[in-house]
Amino acid sequence: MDPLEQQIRNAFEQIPFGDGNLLDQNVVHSLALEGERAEAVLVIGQEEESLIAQTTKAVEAALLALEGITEVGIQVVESYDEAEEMTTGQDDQGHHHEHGEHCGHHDHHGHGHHHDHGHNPQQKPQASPQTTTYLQNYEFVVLVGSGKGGVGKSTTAVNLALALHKLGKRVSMLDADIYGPSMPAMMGARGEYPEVVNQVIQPLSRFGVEFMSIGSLVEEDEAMIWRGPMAHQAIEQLIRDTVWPGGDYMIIDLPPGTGDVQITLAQKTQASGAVIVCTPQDVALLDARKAIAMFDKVNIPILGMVENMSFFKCPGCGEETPIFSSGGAEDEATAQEIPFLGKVPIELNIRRCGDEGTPVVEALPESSSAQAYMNMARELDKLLTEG
Amino acid sequence: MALKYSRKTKPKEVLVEDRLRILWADGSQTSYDFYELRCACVCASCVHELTGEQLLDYAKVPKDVYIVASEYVGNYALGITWSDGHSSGLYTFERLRNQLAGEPGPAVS
Repeated sequence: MDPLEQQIRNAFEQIPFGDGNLLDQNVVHSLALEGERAEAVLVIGQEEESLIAQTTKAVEAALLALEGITEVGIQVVESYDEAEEMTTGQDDQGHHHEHGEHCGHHDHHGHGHHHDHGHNPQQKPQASPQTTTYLQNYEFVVLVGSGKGGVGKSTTAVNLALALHKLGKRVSMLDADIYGPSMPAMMGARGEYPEVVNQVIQPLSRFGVEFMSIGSLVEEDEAMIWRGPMAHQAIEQLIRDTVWPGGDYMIIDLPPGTGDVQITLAQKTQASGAVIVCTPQDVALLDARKAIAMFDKVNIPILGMVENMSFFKCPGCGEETPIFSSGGAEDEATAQEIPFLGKVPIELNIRRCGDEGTPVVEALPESSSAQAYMNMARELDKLLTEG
Repeated sequence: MALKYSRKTKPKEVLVEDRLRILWADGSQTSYDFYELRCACVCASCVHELTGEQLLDYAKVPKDVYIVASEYVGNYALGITWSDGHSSGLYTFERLRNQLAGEPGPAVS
C-alpha cells in the first residue's frame, strides 16, 4: 500500500463517527489524489445529517495535516448510489464536483450537502432553485417591525394576532425580539416553559393562539446579549425547531431597528409583508423610514403603517389630546404610498392589560383601542387576501 | 391601495440549464452565462466590502464553471453554489434584472 494512502487510512480511523470511526462506518466512498489536491466523497445519510459539519471539518483538517496534501475538496452525498452516479458522471464529462474548502469559505447554506437536482446539467437538463425557507405551512407570514424601540410594537403584534384570531383566522405568533422578549408577559405565560423533547419545542398556547418566545426558554432576568451569528442561530432555532401548527397567519414580533434578526427572517422565510409601527413624532418617523427602506431591499412589501400612541383619550371626559402630535404616520404613509392601517390611542387599559397578561383585544373588546386593533386586522386581511 | 410589492422585481420561474434562465413576473426573460455570473459575484470574499476592490482573480475561475445547486433566499435573491466550490454569493433579483442582464465580459458592474 502506498505510504500516503496508509497515512490517510490511519487518520480516518481516528475520526469518530456514530458508534465507530469513518472507516468502519463506511462513510468514505472514495478519495482521489491529484497532485497535491485530495478529493474525498463522503456518504452521510439524512439521519446523520447533524454530523456533516463536524465530519467534513475533521476530514479536511486530517488531510491537510498530511505531507503532500495542500488542497482538499470534500463532497457529501446521501447514499452510495448517489456517490457512484456522481463519480462516474464526473469521469464522463471531466467536470469536478466539489465542495471546495480551498477558497477558505464555508458554505453558508449549511454544509454543501449536494442533493442531486441540478448538479449535473447534462443528465438533468432542467433544474430549479430549491426553496428551503421555513414557516411554509402558513398562508401569510407578517412581520411587525419598528424603526426604534418603545413605540408599542409588541403590543401591536400581540393585539393584531388576537384580533385576527377573533376574525376566525388560525393564528400563531413568534416573538423574534430576542433582546427583549415581552410576549410571555403580555400573553400571561410568565414562568411557563414549553415542552422540549429532542430539541423540538412545543409552542405555548393562550386565547386560541400558539406562540413561542426566547423568553419562554430562558430565565426572565437573564440578559440577552447575542452577537450576530448567535442571534441568527437563536431565530433559526425558534422557527425551525418549534412544532408550528400552521394556519392562516404567522405574526412575527421583530426587535426594533434593522439588524441581524431582520436579515435572518428576510432570508429564511418568505414573508408576505411587514407592518411598521411608529408614534406620530418626527424622530420615530425617521427611523421608520429606514425600516421601510430595509424591507424594500429584501422584497418584503410594506403592508402598512400603524400610528401608535396617537392621542390620549381622557378616561374622565373623553377628550382626545395628541400628546406626541398626531397624524404624522398617516402623512408619512401617504407620502410613501403605503397603506395606513390606523391610529391607536394611548389608553391606560392597553398598558394595564398587557402588564396583567390579557391583551386589550381579549380583556376589553369594546374599548376604542381594541376596536382600533380589530379594524387594523380587517384592513390587513383585506390587503393580503385581495392582493 | 395596491401594494408597493406588485411593482417589485420578482421572477416567475428560474431554470438552471446550459445558462441560468429567468422568466420574470412581467413576462420578460433574461439568461446569464455561468462564467460571467460567477465572475460577477459581489460577496465579501470576491469584492472587498469597504474599498470595493476586486478580490476574485478571474483567471482562477474555471471557464467551464457551472451551477451545482441553487436556492431561493427569502423573497429577494438567489443563492448559488458553484462548481468551483464558491457558495457565499447572493444574487439579488434586483441586480439580476437591472444590472447583470446582457452585459458582456466578466467585469460586470
